[in-house]
Amino acid sequence: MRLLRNVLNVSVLAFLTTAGVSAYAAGQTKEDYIRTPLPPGIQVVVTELEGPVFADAKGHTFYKWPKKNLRNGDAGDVQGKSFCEDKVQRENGGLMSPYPGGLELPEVDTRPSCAAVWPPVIAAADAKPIDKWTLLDLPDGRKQWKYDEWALYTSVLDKKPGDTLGGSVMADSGEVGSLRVPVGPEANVPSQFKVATTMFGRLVELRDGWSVYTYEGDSRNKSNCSGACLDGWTPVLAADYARPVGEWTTFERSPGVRQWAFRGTPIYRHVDDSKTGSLDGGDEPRWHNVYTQRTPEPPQGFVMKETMVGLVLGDPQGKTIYQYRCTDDALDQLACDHPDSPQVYRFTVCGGGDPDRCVKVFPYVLAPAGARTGNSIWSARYIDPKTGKWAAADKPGALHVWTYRARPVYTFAGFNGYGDKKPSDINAMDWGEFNGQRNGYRAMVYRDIYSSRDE
Amino acid sequence: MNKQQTKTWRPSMASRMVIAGVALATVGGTSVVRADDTAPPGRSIGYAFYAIEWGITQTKDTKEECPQGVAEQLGPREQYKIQFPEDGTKRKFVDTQMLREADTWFPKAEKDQFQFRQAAGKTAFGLDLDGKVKPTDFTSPEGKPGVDNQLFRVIGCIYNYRVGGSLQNFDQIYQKKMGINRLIIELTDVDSLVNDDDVTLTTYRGRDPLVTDATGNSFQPGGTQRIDTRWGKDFIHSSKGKIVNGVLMTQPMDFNNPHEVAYQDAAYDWMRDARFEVKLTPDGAQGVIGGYADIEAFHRSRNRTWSTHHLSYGQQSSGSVYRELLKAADGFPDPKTGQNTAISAAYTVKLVQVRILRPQKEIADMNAKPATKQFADSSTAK
Repeated sequence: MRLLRNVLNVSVLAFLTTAGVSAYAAGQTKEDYIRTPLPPGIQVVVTELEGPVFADAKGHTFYKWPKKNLRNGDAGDVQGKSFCEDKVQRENGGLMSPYPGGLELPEVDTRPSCAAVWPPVIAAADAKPIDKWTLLDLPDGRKQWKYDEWALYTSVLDKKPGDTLGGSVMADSGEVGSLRVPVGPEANVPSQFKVATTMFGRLVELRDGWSVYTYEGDSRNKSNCSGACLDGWTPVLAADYARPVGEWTTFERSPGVRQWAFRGTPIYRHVDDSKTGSLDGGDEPRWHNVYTQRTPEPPQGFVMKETMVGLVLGDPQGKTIYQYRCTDDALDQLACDHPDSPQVYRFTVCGGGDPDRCVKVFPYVLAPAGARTGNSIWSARYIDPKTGKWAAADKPGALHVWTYRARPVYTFAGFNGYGDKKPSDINAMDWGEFNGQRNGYRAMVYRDIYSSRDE
Repeated sequence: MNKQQTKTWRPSMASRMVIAGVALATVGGTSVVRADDTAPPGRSIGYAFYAIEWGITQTKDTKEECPQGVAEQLGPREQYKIQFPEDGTKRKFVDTQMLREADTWFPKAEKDQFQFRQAAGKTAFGLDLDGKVKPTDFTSPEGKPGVDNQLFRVIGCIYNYRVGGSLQNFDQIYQKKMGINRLIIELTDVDSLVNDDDVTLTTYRGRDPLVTDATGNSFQPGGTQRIDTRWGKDFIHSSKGKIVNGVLMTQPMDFNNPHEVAYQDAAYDWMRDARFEVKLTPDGAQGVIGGYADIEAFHRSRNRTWSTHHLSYGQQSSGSVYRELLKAADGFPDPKTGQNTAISAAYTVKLVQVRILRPQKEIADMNAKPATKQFADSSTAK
């Protein structure tokens, strides 16, 4: 049985495991969420990566597409309106400054429409608005569900309940294209707190983004942090009128002073944290960040490495693992980061257009035959390195590779002597267009010691 | 500027030059160093960089160093218009933008199809790295001959690197602002800050913000810096040196300069055989670091931290610069091909004194633990 450690001490080891089945699948605690009225046929699914999300009756995750400025123009929806049309875009939008628009897009004859890749969430003809759920009239007479005025879509990449392959809130930062992100109910936490999706799990933070911690030395609903301990740790106190919320309770740490506890464990701030979303306090012995649920572990043998930016995932040989990210330059911003999409974008930045060079510069991370993880985030599949497309197991030359969110992952062997050579190297951290965020490679950073997510 | 600094740096050319990064501004006031009381407490002193720029000679009218002009340099936008003129031709994304990005990440080594404006002139920042005075060498602003700085030829007339250029501007802002770029040095075995024939210089990355005055732009001595022995291992290098008349000169060493200039970047420039030549005072230091910039690291670091969009602001074509780097390279030949893999270069630098805090726990951890831990190690499961 595969075990997740109760606590997370990332300075020592991110996850401790034994071979076998994911603790998540074995019944690991899932995040609680605020129950609100739902339209008929719509449900909440608690996903492994993004936590609770709205989904249709078959479990397909709902996404929204918020407008984003892409330096040379905008793309995406505004509240109350959908710009994802059932029309094939044939030319680029010129959003990828400094180059112009009006160029014929790759594989244009087989390029799908936005609506084909992101089917609108269609409401029944007699559907009625309820709570934050409202309806958008489509040109063909159908009605599309909106939530909080954002038009809702599903992703053709999602195949089973809990899949969030269409997008992740974690990717939506910096110079990325206009991405789709999952939509879900709010976490059931007191108003002082919020929950953020991170590589390690759904991280509990104060509403202003500062991390909170628990102490192994505490007892259930009792704090043993006093005296000198309080120099480094500040109890998170509850207001006089605060009431228990879901898994959150309060206890009286001294007469008239109440402290929050999560699942019975007292909650603190770390006074030395220097940025929001910090994991620094977890470096202190017996102190831990707080997660409503943990993300399933990477495959067996993968390592967590200390690099110049923080903790980064490595393959069993210690080489940095990279994801490939891509959104095309059309107004509908279709993803080009998975094997079902055109590979010319990736071939450009990984090999100057040469697939053979790509495999040498950015090798796939090979998975052993029969490799399984027991979770839906990491899996092994066959790929044709010549085309970058999925392949049958018996196809000559096919490689059995590890995938994260159904996209292959890579290492960086390099070019002209510039590659990852020692474990701390992350020399392709931001390789590609717009710092590797619109068409390029990004290292899988689990703990960023410098950047705040709120930046 | 006090008399001692004027004498030491002989800035006779300063009246006609705008010297990027070496304006010799005082750090927290002026200091006159006396030999008899200059040994720092504990025989060690730390400094943190608050400015580090590629050394580029810049006259007001640019004519001395850029006789072919700066505005005339062809960046991505300008080259695209030449390569793909607006003549009504229906073009494909793959044949245009993708073609250019391929040349950005995998530049061809053959002759460039675009004209490139190299820097010229006789003056450049830097050091005599090879002990020779060659026709291609420069003279330093102080009049020293034999200065090796071929990188100046390549980037000296690219607006990105000049004062006011996009990259230069943001690079300097983020160098000060972002903790990931916090580079510090520690001098140890120092018996005198004026004359000492045996000192040790070690570079580190620091973990703390710089101390400023209320404006946020003037850096104050006396701040503390915890050295980063956990995440900053790649920036720890050491070399022997000596101090002569208040100027520190070190022996060749590797020097990694971190420069994050955007969200979550992580690149650094690698200078090989780097040598410090900096004027020391108790409250600051400034001068040059000369050495050989690794071409691949230089090229890749620019691409990674400064996208084609950003490069276009400063009229910098990545592929063209790479080809010029190969042509002008003058160090570390590849043993198989003979092609030089590095180019002589110089940084102009300014530093402010800091008190270095040595985290014993981190050092102990660093020595005791490997840098990686493996998943699925059931023997350590709790």
